[in-house]
Amino acid sequence: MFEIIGKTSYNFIGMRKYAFTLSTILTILGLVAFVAILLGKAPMGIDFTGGTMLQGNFENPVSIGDLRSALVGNGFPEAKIQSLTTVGVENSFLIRVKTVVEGLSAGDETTVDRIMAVIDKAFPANKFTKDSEHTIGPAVGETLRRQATWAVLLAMGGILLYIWLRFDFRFGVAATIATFHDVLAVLGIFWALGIEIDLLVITALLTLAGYSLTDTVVVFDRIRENLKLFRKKGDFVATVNVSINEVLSRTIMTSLTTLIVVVTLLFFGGQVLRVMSLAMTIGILIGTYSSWFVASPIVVVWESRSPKRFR
Amino acid sequence: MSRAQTWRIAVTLLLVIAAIYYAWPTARFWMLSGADKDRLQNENPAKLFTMKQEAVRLGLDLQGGMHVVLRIQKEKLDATASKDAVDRALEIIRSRIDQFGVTEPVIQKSGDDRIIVDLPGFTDVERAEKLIGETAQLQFKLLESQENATLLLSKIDEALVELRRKEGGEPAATPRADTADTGKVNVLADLLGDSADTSKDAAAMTDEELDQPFSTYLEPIPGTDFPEFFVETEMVPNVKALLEKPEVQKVIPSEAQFALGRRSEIYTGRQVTRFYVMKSRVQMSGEYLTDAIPQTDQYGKPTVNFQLTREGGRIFSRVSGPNIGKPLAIVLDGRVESAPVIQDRIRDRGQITMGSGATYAEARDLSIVLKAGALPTDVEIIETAVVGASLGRDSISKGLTSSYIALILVLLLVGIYYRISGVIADLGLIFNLFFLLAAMAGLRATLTMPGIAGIILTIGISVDSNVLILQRIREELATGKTIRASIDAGYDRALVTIVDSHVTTLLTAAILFIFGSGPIKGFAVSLFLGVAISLYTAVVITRAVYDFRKGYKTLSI
Repeated sequence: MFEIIGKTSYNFIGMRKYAFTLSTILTILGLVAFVAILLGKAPMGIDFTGGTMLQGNFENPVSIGDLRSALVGNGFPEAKIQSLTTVGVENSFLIRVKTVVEGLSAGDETTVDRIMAVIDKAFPANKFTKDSEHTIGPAVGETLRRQATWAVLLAMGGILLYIWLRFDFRFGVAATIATFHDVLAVLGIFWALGIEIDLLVITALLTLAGYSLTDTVVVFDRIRENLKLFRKKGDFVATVNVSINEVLSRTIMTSLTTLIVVVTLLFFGGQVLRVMSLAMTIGILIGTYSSWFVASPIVVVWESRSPKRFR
Repeated sequence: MSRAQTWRIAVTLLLVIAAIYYAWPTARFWMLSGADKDRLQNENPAKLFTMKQEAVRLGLDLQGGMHVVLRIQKEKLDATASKDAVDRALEIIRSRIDQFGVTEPVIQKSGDDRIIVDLPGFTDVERAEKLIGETAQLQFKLLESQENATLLLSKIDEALVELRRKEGGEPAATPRADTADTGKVNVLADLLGDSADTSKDAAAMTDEELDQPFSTYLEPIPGTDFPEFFVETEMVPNVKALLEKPEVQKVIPSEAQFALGRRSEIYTGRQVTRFYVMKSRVQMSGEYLTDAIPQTDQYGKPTVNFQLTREGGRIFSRVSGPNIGKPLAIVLDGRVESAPVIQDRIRDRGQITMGSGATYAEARDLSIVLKAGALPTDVEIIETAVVGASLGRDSISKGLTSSYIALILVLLLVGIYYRISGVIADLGLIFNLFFLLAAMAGLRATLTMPGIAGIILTIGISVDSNVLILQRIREELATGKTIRASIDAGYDRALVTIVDSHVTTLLTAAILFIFGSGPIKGFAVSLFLGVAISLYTAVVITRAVYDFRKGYKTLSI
């Protein structure tokens, strides 16, 4: 048998100063993003704000600037347009507007109708085929926001409960901080990149939270086991380091397999899942990082500040 | 073979048989090539249909189709009516959709006042919205007499003139010959505010228009002795705005009512809409209809032929008898479809002549809607999503490609790194996916694009369990234990960690299932099932393989 990583002895805990700096930056970024979302300043998908989104492609090339001015000048000043043109898909665009005609009865002209009319008029010789559309009224947007909030609260609550039952206090706090750190970091990165937060992103974040914990659990299990074996009080740091190194192979393997699948999704999964796979990819990387460089060091630092005999 | 081993093998075999049973219809359907499908479509469409039904259901984002959410405006009803309004609306909408011929529509209540309608394969948004969202309240009303109508219209004109005088301060009788034209433009602007089209050139306004601010919009339809008019479609908002003024409302008696036609037509080169002055009393309503069939009459114009209940027939007879020669307005949701003249006494059958410019398709849709009945109150469309079939197919192909690539990469990675033990783990993974698909088929779960992502994620996560076990075995071997002992220790020690580490993933998947909408539910289902099943396949099935031999000389791991 061969190991990618043989018997290693990296000083994970020793690198904690760098790690803490990086993590603090990421966490602050995440908190800023979180506040921005609450204030309504972060880009949110139409799932939450209501609005209309439609996707389609032209027969002949159209510049995104022309399309934007056509829409902006004809009643959709806040229209957001994204080019979806990739290999094999030409002249494809994603259009998002916030205008929704309130209280539509059947037969009334919809926002989509109006957008199509504007496009027809602006590009008369160039046929635009609509691939998909989604219109969400503000009432539904509010419902989805509420449901998403509940889901996040319950998921976090459930995770906290699990941690409380499973770990003793210090490990529990450390695991909690690590999990929140992971979610906030991804959120912050997304906000910094200007990516819209929609339901799929929230789904990815919740899945991430659950998944990131599993990594932490494996490391902590090993630490606990080793602490039972090596009762030497003085060498807490060494024990933790050794533990992380011992599970290094396994952690890398698991993260690698999960990373492979989400990266595959990122490249081959198509536009619908792109944002979600990006969130998962970043999340898995950060989740692995946090088990080594956030959760464990927290326990170590705590122990060094107020040592107690470990059971 | 130990007892534990016997159980493992027996249970696994049972599961495999169950899985094949559940997964078979899906496999069978998906293995049909395009040519086979066409052949079946021609020879035995019913069989093709059932085969499709039994296979795993595809979400709208993969099949293409429409998703509409309606809100029943219960506030328009009183307390007793609103209690079962949603249920009644649900039944009516269901009956309308049944007649569309959409396969496997999903129509369900959501919350207190919403109805969700999913129409797979159907992408005609306009038609669907009309068919689902129209209240479809049918009423028959008589038109006012010409004298009453003329009187009413002049009263309205007077009221408006009076209003303008009070507001604008400019008396109607100002000599116009030499006055600046701006005064005339302001008249309309005063009366109508910004909502109106006041682009009419001031100079083009005649005295008549100043004296008759309302009637000036109405052009009597030639050939009728009754108050039916043409209004230029562009001017309809102006007309509506004027009618809504309280001063005008005061003048209209409760027995009279105005209504616009349902569609616009071309008359002398202009786009016009019809306008009627009716008696507001409902002579008969659509609830007495027992059947409605689209037809064409002897002139080739589309009609809807309807049948009435006995009670309805009696009422209709009483209404039509004394009113022969007079027009009867057919009002649908407040707009007049047409107002044909009553030829003779109508008993229990009648014909709705569609208005000018109507197509047979509209007659057909109208008959669907009339047969199903009127909705208890208005509904509001609060969400629509449409995915085209080509985008759906594209998503499926991308999903499949990603799945194959991800699977192959993981199988290779694990197989190479852990060698034969890795191959055993790979076997567990394959069982995992097989059981997962069978479970989804058996539970009639709907496969969505995020659902495919969930399956792919499962591939990555479920391998983790095996990695835990194998790494543990390696460690045990390193401490010098025998191979057999190492294997056993590996499984025993890793079990707790395996279950532990997947609990949170299962938890978040469960929460996402509860709170998520359609596509996200799909993700939650496949992730939950995948991870849950992996607990079995990783531990039991792979162990069963190792337990075929009591002792090992060497272990490829």
